[in-house]
Amino acid sequence: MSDQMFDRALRNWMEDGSDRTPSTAIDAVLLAIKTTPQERDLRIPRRLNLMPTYMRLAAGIAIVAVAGVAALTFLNRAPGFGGPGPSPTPSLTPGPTGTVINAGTITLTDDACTWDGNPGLIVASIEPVIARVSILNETETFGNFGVYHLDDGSWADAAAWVARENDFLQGGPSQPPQDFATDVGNIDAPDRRRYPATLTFGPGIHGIVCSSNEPPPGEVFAMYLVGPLEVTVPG
Amino acid sequence: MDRDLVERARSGDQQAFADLVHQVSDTLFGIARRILRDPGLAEDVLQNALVTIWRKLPHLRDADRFDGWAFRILVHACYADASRNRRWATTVRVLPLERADTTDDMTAISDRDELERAFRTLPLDQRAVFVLHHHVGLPLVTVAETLGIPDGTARSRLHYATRALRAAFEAGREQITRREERLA
Repeated sequence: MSDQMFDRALRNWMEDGSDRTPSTAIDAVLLAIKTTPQERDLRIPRRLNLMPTYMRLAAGIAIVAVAGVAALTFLNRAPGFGGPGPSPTPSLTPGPTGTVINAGTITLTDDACTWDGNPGLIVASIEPVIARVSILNETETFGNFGVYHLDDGSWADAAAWVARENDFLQGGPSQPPQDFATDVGNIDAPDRRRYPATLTFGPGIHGIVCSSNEPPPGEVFAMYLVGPLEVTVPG
Repeated sequence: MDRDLVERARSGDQQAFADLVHQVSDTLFGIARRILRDPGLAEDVLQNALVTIWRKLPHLRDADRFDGWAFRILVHACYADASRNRRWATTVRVLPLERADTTDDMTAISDRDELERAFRTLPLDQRAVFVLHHHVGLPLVTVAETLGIPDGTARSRLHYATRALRAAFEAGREQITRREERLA
């Protein structure tokens, strides 16, 4: 079977049918945009690239000078560096740093995010809880994992908010920003691979919003909520 | 692509966007129709993609990159629609009867049917690479850049898609040959 025959058949098949857009589709789009606001571009303009060379040089010198002053200040204060510092307070036992746990694997795929081994409820004697997790990005896009502490809202509020955000990403109506949760951590997973990570949780209920997107601040394609993880510290 | 139209549409000019839509809609519809293999679905996806393009235009930094940026939004709209809406309707193609009375015509119809069947079994990400490369004519590096995937991934998707189509094509041709031998 010759390559030419295959190529010809492929070409004939590919060019089959009409590419003319139905006018009703165009009319519907033009009607829709009359009531659809454009998103504002919130990115920080890359002003440095527009600066003349002498200004860039001056900015560089200023940055180096500030860093130098900060380093000297630090060295003068830190014990053991650049001269005597204050004596450390004696302590019989080192202070606890937190409760360390293994918290499974969070996997982002093209159409879902799952958290295998989510401990769910952690009763910790010492806060914060330091959770070792494995972040697995199985998409071909940039993955981001935002850790949220639910201050005022319930888990259902968080799930509903993520559902509305996804609806918005698919062209649905915009919604006001959520005001019931605080972003307390963030992990980027730029490529398709596994990332070991450490997340820190204080007391309360937490959720992780996984998103597949273009590298920030690019377009977000989809968002998913995994959890909840609740930390309680008795007493 | 008319850069001025993109710039004006980006700053909220609805008439400029309407003109832009008239310029690009056939290309975008052709891509969606080929990826989804269903003109009805393609029309829905095109509408969603064009509204998304309007909404997100202020984020587009370089007007010269409008085409690739729009292709990417369209392809992701295809993915989203496919995962949300599993109605993979069969498209019935009406063939003129007078064209189908010679062996060559029968072979051509058989080729198309085999290719069509094989293509419908491919994952959407392979279809997208195949269509952008073979129909739009983008080099593979540009396809990878457009879809935001590594070059090697684009290459392997194209390879798998082409291999499946070729296998279906060759199987169809062998069937025809055997049938002709039986009739002879």
